[in-house]
Parts: sequence; C-alpha cells; structure tokens
Amino acid sequence: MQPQHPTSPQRPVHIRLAGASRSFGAVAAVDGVSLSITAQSFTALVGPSGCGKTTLMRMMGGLEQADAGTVERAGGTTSFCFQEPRLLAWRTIAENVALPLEFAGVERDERRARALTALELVRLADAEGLFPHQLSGGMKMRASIARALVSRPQLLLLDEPFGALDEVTRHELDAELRALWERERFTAVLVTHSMPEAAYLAERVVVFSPRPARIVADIATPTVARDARAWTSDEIGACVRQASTALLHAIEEARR
Amino acid sequence: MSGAQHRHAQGHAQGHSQGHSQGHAQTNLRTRAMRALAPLAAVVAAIAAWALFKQMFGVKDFVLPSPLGVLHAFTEDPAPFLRGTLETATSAGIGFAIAAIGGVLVGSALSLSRAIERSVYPLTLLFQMVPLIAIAPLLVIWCGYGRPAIVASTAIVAIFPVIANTLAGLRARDAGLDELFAILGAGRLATWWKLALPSAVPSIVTGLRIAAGLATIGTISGEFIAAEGGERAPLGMLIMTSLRQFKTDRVFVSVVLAACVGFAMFGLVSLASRVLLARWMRGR
Repeated sequence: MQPQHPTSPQRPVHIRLAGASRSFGAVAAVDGVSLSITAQSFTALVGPSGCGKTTLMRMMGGLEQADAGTVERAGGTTSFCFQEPRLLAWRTIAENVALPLEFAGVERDERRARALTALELVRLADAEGLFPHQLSGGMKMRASIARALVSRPQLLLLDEPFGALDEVTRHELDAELRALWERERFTAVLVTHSMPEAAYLAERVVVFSPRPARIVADIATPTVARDARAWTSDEIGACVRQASTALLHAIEEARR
Repeated sequence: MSGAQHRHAQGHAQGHSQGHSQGHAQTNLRTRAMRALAPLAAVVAAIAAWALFKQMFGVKDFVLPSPLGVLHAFTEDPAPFLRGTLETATSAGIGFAIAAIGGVLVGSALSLSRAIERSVYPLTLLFQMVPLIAIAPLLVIWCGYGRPAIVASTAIVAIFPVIANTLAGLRARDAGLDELFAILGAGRLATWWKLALPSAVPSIVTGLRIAAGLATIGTISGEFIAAEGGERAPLGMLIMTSLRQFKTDRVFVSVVLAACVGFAMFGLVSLASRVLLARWMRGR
C-alpha cells in the first residue's frame, strides 16, 4: 500500500512498528502490523470495536509487549488519555492534574504552577479547586487531558477519550484537542470508532480490519481549517466516505 | 422543653428562607426535629414503663431499683462514678486507637499479596471467634492486673472489624487507577499511600465506627477480670463490687455510664468520620 500521508523528510519517525503481533491466549488481537508514525503528526486508528486497535495503541505506549515483530519508540515522555477520566475523587482538579509530576520528583510550587498552565490549555483554570464530582463529564475529560499534558509529553496516546460523552460536548472537545495539537505539536495517536472524529482530528487515518487488526486503508485527511464548518465540509465528508468504504470492504471480506 | 425548641427552630428557618421554598425548609426542619425527638421519646417511655412495672408488682429494690433511686445513688456520691467513667473511657479510647492504627496496618499488610491474605486472614478471625472472657485471664497473666490488660482486651475486640474493612476497601478499586499509577511510575509505597489507602477510606471509616461501638464492650469485659479496686476503680470494677454488696442501684448507675461511654465513642468517631469523609462522599 502506498502511504498518502504527509511524510515530510524533516520530520523524524516517532514510532515504528514492523510486523508487530499480539495474541491473548488463542485470540490474535494484532496480526503483523507495520506502521510508522511521524513525529509531531496526528494519526487516528479506526476500526470496528474489538478489532485490536486499542491493543495496538497500548503496544505503541509500551503497555503491551509484542509477541512477534518489533515496536520502536523514540525517547521522550509518553502520556495516555483513556476513555474514562480516571481522576482521584479525593483530590481537587489541580491536585489531580499535578499527580504525574509528584512521581517525577518535581517541587511542590512548580507542580502547582505547571498544573495551572495545563488547566489553562484545556480552558479549565477556574475549576482548579473543585473536586471531580463537581464537574460534568466533558470537564472531567478536559482535566484528564490536562493531566496527560502536564508532563509535557512528546507523545500523547488517546484511547477513545470522548467515547462516553454526548455529541455536542464531543464536537466541542474534538475542536479543542485539534487546536491544542496545532499549537503544541506533540505526536498524537488517537483510537476511535468514529470516522468523522478521525477525519476531523487527525492528519492521517489508518483503517483496520476486524480482529486480528490488519491495515486496510491509510488515508491523508484534507488540510482544510478545522473550524465548526469542517465537520460538514465536502473534503472531510469525502475522507469519511473513503475510510468507511475501506472498512465495509474489510468487514465483508472477513465474513466470507 | 423540646417542643419550645422545635418552635424556635421553625421560626429561625422562616427568618432565613424568605421568598424561596419556605414550606420545604419547614418540612425539612420538622422531619429533622422528629428524627431527633423520636429516640428521646422512646427512652422516656422506657423509663416510665420501668417505674410503672416496679410500682405495680412491688419489686424489691435490690432486684430492680426505681429510676429515681438510681438517680439518687448517683447524686448521693457522684465522685467514684465520675472517676470510674474517666478510667473506663481512657482505657476504651487507648484500646480503640491501638485497634484503629493496628487494624489499618494489619489490613494493609494482608493486602500485599493474596498468599499472605489467605494464610494470615483466618488467624485474624481468631480475634473475632474466641470469646474474650475466655482469653481475658491470659491477658492478666501476660500483662498483670490493671490498664495494660484492659487496653489489650479492648483492642482485641475492636481490631477485627478494622482489619476486615481495611482489607475490603483496599481490594475494591478501579483497576484503571492502578494502571494509571503504574504508567506514571509510582512505587509500591506511593501507590499504597496515594491510591489504595485513600480509596479505602470510606470502608475503613465504616470499620472504625463498628470498632468504636465494640471497644467499650471489650473494656468493661476486661475490667471485670483485670481491673484493680480502690480510688481509681473503673466502671467494670464498680459493677462487680456493687453486685457483691447487693447495691443494685449502683450497678445500674455504672451500667448507664458505661453505655454513655460507648455512645460517646461511637458519636465521636461518627463525627470525625463525617468530617474526614467530606472529601470522599460529597455528591454521592
């Protein structure tokens, strides 16, 4: 398959998978995936649920080991965002966001300053003293992203971070995440089952087959500005159609 | 008296809830006042029934003293009772504190591995299963007469619910949080201190409240066997000496005071836990 995504030669490779496979008992979750993620790029991994894309992302982050093949990752900090915000109920939002810094041995004053900066990035600075239960689902997710960003990661791995949110909140957070990435330019890998979300957020959409995960399409998304109109634009729409068609073919093939 | 308080409270609420949900605030206060008055009314009714029963059947004083007789036995010479109450409360407090700290530490140690839990947890059940009265004489042999044996007896009775609830609390938490801590590179001690223990707090507090109620039982039982008489005789000792002298009214006074110590322990722990839990329970 000819990759159509923007692989400018000045951007080095951040993650390189070569024939990476992973099984759980008799179930093969990932089967010989080869994929290079360029530094500072935004890549979405899409596929039917249970296809192994989450396992693939966890392999990229070192949470799962490959049974066969190799996973190489450039140095630097890696942060995760999960589908659940995973906040500590007894800590304030600022204390939650500062948590990663506690284990990195950062001084108390600096922890607080950096937590506030991270909260500003996700427009949650005025909620710093609140407790998680006082926040809406979307705000909790913002706090979770702030916690991921507080350690200034070079790589951010997002596992369906907005999957549990309502449509309106989800679009709002998608727009903010995209804007954040355009400003900060960390390498981002997003797992999602929403084609429109993938096409809107990412520069590149990699479509996976039903389990075990194999790449069936690798699509560069259009370079249109990601404003509110982008959701319904022809360019994004065409990208969604292309990715969806590839997925449908793969599902039909798997049934045969 | 309580009726006047009730009316006063209502007037107070009206003064503050002008314009919004006045009726709601009123009903709320009324139900709260009722909730506080109901047990008090039950106590008053029980005392009245007691006096009536004694009067009707002409029960002798050494079998069942009258409520007023009990009150008189106390007011006649309150000093030994008050000293005894202080002694008992001190032993109960120290024993409870040992049970609270020891229970959390033992529960935490047990949670370190399934293997440790499986092997040691049945042993801790011994604390619960062996009748205290059966081991109290041993405590006297080991600790001698006096406070150490009484405190030990208190702690033995109170520690099990703390261990059991700490263990349950440490086990029950979202696996995602453990993964988060692992990703962040948190060590074992940091994970215990910053994740496991705080997660277990609501459960531990439940254990502490049960322990607070049990502590006084352990103290009085210990005092039956291990207390020393004289100036600083605790309530358990006062009960024993009054029984031997057929001063049943003085037994009643001691029993009531012992119950008060138990209530006070439970109340203090409940109050402290409510303050502590404010961070954990809000919005639940």
